[in-house]
Amino acid sequence: MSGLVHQLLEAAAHADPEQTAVVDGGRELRYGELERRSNQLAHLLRDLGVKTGDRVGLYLEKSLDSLVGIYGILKAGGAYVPFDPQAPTARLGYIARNADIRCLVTGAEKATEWNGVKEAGAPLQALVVLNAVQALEAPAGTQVVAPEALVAYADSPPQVQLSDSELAYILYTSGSTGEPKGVMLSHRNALAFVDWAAEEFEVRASDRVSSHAPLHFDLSVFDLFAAARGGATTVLVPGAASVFPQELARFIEANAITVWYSVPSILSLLVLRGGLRGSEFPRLRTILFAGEVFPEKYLFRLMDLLPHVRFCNLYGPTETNVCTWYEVPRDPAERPETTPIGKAIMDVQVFTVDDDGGVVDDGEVGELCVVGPTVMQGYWGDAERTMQRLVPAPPEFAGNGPMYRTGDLCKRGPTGDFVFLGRRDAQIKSRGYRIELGEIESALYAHPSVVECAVAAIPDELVTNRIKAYVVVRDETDEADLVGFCQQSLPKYMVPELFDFRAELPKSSTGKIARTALEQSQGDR
Amino acid sequence: MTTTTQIRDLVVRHTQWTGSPDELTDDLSLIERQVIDSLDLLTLISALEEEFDLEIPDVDLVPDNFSSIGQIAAYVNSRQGTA
Repeated sequence: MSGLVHQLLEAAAHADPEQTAVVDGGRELRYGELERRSNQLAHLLRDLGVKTGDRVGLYLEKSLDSLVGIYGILKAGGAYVPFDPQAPTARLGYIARNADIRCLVTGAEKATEWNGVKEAGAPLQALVVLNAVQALEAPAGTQVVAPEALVAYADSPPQVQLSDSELAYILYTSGSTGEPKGVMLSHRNALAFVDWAAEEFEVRASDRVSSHAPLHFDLSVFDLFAAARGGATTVLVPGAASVFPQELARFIEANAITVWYSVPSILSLLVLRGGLRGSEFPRLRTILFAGEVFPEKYLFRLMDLLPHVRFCNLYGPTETNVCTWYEVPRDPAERPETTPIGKAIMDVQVFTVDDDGGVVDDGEVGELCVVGPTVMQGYWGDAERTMQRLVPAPPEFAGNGPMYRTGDLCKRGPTGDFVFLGRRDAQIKSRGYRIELGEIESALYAHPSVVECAVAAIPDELVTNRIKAYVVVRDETDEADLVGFCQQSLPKYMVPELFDFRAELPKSSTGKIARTALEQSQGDR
Repeated sequence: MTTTTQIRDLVVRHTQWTGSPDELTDDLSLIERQVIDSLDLLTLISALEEEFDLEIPDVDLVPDNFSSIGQIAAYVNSRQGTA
């Protein structure tokens, strides 16, 4: 198979240029058109000075144009950096500054935010708008390139020499020290997963693959690239279907989705509120879920409602893409009480180590470690953190590159499947997003009235965890003030839902905040 | 307090609306502007059920009833009228 991500598109466009590549509501783009438009964008980006290895931001609502943007950036030799379209501009400005993003591929719907991103320190020079109908004002010191400019460029691929070790994308995730960190994935990293997934799940031209996850979330790598590898159609899930469970049921049915991939929480809602009776989705054949634990009571109910569907749990932090998987048995008698994360995918090795780095025996708890072609290149611009997490593999796993320490505590059961047990640190999951509690605490401490704070995860059946902040303030600052303050620097899923105002926070003998005592005690106001 | 005002308060309280309540106009699309996600919807439904003493069945959870504050108010009014 090919060595670069965008060669998947080139092959699909060559095989059947008329095949629908992507559907967004009533709009469609065929593989041939997607190939030609992304070639034009690649030429334009090169003309703007984008060179091999440059990071190019992608800042627009998910749409047909997003795919043109992604492939255009890759074909220009760049690495795409998908911005969360809903994130505060302060956070996006940080990311752009951190990744040294000079060029942004964007949409008119984000024009009102450009200034904010620039003012937050983004070194932007060019904004390439893919969908504007009118002239848009450029922030000071930048130029705006309108979509009409694309037609002047050749629609054949640019001649760009690229090795598969070049970065394909950088995904920013929550960082414990208060700032997001950029996970660098190469073309080879992406394809090691995509090649495996497209084969294992038999993605073919007849398939219609859902795209539910946002593009800054690594589940999207499957939705776009495994589909392209199989010449399948990617169908973007519209906002209303993500909100209303019955709309979602109608969407899956009406669009004849064959392969669905998402976080479990949306599927739990489909079970709870989707009005399923058990005869739905005859075309649907595979449901993949990842990002958090799928509560078994909802998973098993959904499996019983959809007995013709294959259900698979995919596991892996952004740093390793998917590295293990587990197919849940259809026979209820064979389903384990706790759904494992399973075994390693092709060419990847996973094992658990103790605190000293020694490989532990089956049945004993250790930190899950990953070696193989899906393991990231490191954190952008952060050699220190990279060295902490990417370490030499133990002798028995040497020869396949460094080992990534996931921070996840796991053990291997008698069937050879790994089971996830918890975290070594204060990282939590909520709605499938990975969140460092320390990053939220940093955001709260930045508020002038906050004297002390501790952020905790409150376990929740639907969303895995809800976020609760315990705070000591020096004045009459209230919840609304703190929520508003957090929203300026944190994405919505990281803003605490519950606030508990205290006169003081309990301390341990060493002066640290005593978290267990805190969570068991009562509030003061 | 009118139904619309009560509903606006509930939306502000349960969805982490980032703007001022004034910007949250009756016809602003809560879906397109991504004011609510699927889990906010459930929280909001529980709050509406409590506030207006209603039971909202799953079949009523459709965009036509919940895409804007105006639509939610119309829905709540219609339910109260028939209760």
